[in-house]
Amino acid sequence: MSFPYLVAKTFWVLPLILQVAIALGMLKRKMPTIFPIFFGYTTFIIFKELALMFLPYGHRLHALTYWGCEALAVVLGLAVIFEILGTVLPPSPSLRFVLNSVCIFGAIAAITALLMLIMTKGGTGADPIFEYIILAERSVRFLQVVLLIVVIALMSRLGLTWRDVSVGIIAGFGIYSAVVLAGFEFRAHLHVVSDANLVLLNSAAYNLAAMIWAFYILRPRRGTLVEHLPQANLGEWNNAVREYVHQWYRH
Amino acid sequence: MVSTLIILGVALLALVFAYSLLRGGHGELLDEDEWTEKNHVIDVEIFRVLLDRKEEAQLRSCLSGNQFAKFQRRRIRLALGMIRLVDENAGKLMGLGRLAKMKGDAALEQKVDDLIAIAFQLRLNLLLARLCLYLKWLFPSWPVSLPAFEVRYQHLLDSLHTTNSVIA
Repeated sequence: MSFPYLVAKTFWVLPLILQVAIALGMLKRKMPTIFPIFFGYTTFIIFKELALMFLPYGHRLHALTYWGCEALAVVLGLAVIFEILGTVLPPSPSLRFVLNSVCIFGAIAAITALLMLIMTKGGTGADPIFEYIILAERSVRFLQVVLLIVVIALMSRLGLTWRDVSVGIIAGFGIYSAVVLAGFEFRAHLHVVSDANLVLLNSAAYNLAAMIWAFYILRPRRGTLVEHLPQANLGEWNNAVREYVHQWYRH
Repeated sequence: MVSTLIILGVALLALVFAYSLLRGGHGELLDEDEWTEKNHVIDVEIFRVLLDRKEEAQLRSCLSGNQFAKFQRRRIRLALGMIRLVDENAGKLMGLGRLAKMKGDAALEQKVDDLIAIAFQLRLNLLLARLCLYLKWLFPSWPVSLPAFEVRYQHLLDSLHTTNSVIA
């Protein structure tokens, strides 16, 4: 048994085990009601891997299942970003503009991703369809990474700390998507990474993401010591700062 | 080549952001006593005085150009320092609020949501204020006036809510 084979097998089995543990941990802590889409994503990945295990490798059905599930996983990954945003934003009508701003950023990123796909000279390699699939996935990953950057920037303004589960979920997606995006760029556009290394890089990044999720979902929770909110003059400060902002910004 | 640079830049930025998100918040508070010990006591009236236009006009009329610029920069540095402390206070309160939310008390949860909403608005306003103050620091004599994107949007929302409440 060669070392690369062992690494590839470990990278395949480890996240599967971790995601089963994540799903069970979420069920035990009644978290599917808080993060239903992330729970759906986790269980979907488990079933996808199990289905692929029983389908004969190299057959058309295996390839169709793999790429179909991959597309659905990307869509679910995008939905998780909005789910987390909905969870961390307080239900205040005055903050609806934040969600709208993220949607606008998303739309701009989606248009950029589409333009990148159209303008790149793809399909020139040995397998043109595979080249196009990689370019399409690169574009979608670009959209995902841009949205993640916006959401992470917002989360840091929302006072979330490393203890929050939402932070772990988004950070996991952020690291995975960023590495995959860079990998696709190195493979599809610069041609400096082989297909085998791209697969290995993706697996390594996914393993890291699964470890982060597992850490956040499975670690023991401490009881809260906060019974009341302290008195603070945030409203007064907000009014004072807003006055100056209105003074300085033209209407 | 440009698209490659953009993509790799975006990927790198996401990695840095994700890492800073995981590393962030180590100065968070765990209970109310810690808040009493560690919060920054800052008087909003001092902030108002530092940025008061009348005071600024008076200083301009009393001092020479260079002296005014020097004095004004010192005032702005103080105001920026206060903004940093208020920002930290808001962040700590939001963290404390999130801990309180874990208790599962519905009334407390509502208070926490209100606190987070106002703290978030404050932090956004502080960002805008900071941008203006940096410009004012660079050009102390310039009466800062910037296009208002977010402010306009906020006005629109405010008027919408007022209309809704009148109709209701």
